[in-house]
Amino acid sequence: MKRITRRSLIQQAFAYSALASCSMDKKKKHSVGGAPIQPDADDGSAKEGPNSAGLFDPNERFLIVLGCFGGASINDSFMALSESQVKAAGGDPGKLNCFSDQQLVRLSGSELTAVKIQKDIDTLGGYKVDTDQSTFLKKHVQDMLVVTTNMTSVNHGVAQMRSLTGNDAWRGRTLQEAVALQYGKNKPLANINMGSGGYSFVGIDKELPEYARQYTVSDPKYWPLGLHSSIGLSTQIESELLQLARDSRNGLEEISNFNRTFKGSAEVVRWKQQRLDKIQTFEQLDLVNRLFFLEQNGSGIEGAKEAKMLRELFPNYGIDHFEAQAMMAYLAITSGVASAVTLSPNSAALTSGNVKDFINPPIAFDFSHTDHRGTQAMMWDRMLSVADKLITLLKAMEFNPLTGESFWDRSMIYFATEFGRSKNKEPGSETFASAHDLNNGSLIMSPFVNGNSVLGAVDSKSILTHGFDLNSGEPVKGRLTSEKEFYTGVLTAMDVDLTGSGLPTVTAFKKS
Amino acid sequence: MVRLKYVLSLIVIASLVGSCGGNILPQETPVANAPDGSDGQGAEPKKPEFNGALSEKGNVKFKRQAVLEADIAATLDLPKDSLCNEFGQFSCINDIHHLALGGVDAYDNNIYDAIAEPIATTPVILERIVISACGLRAEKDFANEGSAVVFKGIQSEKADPISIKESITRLYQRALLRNPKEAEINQLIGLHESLQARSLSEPGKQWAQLACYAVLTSVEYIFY
Repeated sequence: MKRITRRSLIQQAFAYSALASCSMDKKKKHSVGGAPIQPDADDGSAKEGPNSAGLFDPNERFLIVLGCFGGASINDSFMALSESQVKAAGGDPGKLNCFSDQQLVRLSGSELTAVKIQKDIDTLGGYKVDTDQSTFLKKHVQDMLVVTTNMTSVNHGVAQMRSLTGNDAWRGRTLQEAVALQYGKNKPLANINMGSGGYSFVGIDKELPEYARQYTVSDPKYWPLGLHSSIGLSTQIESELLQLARDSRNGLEEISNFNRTFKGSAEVVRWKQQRLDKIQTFEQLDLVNRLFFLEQNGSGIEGAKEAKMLRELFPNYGIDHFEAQAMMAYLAITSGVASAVTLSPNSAALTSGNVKDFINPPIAFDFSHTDHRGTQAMMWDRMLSVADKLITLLKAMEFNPLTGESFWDRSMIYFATEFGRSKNKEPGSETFASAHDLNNGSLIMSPFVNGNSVLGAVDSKSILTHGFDLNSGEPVKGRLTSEKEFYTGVLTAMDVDLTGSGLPTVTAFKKS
Repeated sequence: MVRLKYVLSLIVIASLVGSCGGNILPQETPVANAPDGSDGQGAEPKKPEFNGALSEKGNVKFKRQAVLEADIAATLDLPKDSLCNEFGQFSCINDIHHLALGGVDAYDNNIYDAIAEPIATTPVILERIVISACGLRAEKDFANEGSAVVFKGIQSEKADPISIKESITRLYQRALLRNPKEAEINQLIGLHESLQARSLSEPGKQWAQLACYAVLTSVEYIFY
């Protein structure tokens, strides 16, 4: 591990600004110059350096799940094929979803491809797609692992859920719960889920410890206010007086017949424990100020130190939940609140105000039912833009001063998606519709995985993906990667203890 | 004979309907004439001590979003949309913290299933809502004693003990639909005395907020 300082990281990170990577961002000309993070501030603030607050274990890891709502096709990104490849393999490039040579970018020494698309989506009022995945690929290829998958459902909600649970591979625990269980014991809210639909699924393992259970968040902008009993309200009560009232409440409960009768109820016991443990923890750790990123003058809320920088980096946070979720994800990880965070676009159409300037198409990736190529390009760009910014931010924040590791050195981003899309296209047309297809692949990004590689392969004649040897990683024709195997590979790469889980051995994901 | 029974039945039904009055709250009992044989100051008459027969099933439910909102609004006689608003704009109960209170978010986030049980953030969110609503009730009651709903006769610096007991009784009747026990009254009077001993600018109003908070965050109020 090379020796790095926070300042050098920030300078490098922002010199290669997050904004350089994604074409949609280039158009918006975000202003993130200067030194938005002030990690070298001399005020000794505990918020800035979570290690100094004693919240981090040097071995811990963080999982970020990006839910690609609607079905992100790997054939339209990092496993895309050219027409010439399909033709050479004996396939019909006119009928399969493949690209002209000009639309594909390949890097020397890499199996991964990137797609460049320029087209109008007529069914979105002529929205102009102009995307290029190659900048992202060039910047992050060393941390990118694409794994072929074969899902078991083409129902959105069910498949989304299974992309997190490996189809109940391990007692119904989600990946986030498993990671929170391993690394989140000392976190106030180890598993924060801001996702939509099946990506907000709560695992079904009844024996999962309380601390690993997820906290579902609907609006990340205002949610932190719920971590304090009164901050920002017109009614303020001094903490000393509030404690008096809490003591009185506890005294009243001792007298109450209702309490005496039902004090053994599991619900009541759990409630009292949560009340005792959490309220003071949240307030003592000042979570509201660690996580709040809106500008609210005069509210009594100071907010996160990085809030201004984040607002500039994610300028649509006010209207776009996905950007606001990314801001929250960054703050939750770097301020020691969470081990696992989940975010995703939702199914609602979103424009910047101009009806032709879509931020999110209706039903997100699933608008591919109407215009596959344009939608996939647009949505992949949306996902990669947020991922790029998060990675850049995490690289710029020091995790461990002793080793010089950044937060990115301890993190993984999993691009979860429910399934792929059908492989056919309308002959001779760039505008065609697609259906759901079990066959696909998923992108994982992390310093913990074998980067710049693909596990499995895509058959050039059919453009269907196939699997690989779970440990050597060698492609195996005729083998399909199950949800359970994928789930195990992710947790193995995250160094989660799988003892007694009954899961198969899958070491191919983990950096060798 | 049949006809007589029919007429009698109608009379019984009419009397039952008439007694309900369509009010979900118990009719406020004039404290001085409490019909339950109490001391007239809200405390229940002396009864044998409850021995705490513990429920074997312990089958209680947390009041979820809509029930909680309706109950707090009714208890404190406040419009639902005034109970708690983040930055004075967004409803704590319906817009911002609804998932933690057992609501769903079908339109924005495709979340159709409510949480099965309270999550870690639920207790603090409940406190937030109650502090806001109790603060509002105390503000109103202290701004206009004549139209006070819960806290009457305690607006002056030296509130008399009877008015305090009456306020506690009203609070219990409205919140828990019963009269307070003597020990419960004493508990809240103890809180009042603690505040009086401090140099607070408006100890009476502060007590009103805190007493309201103590009752409305108790398990008896938030479970059923």
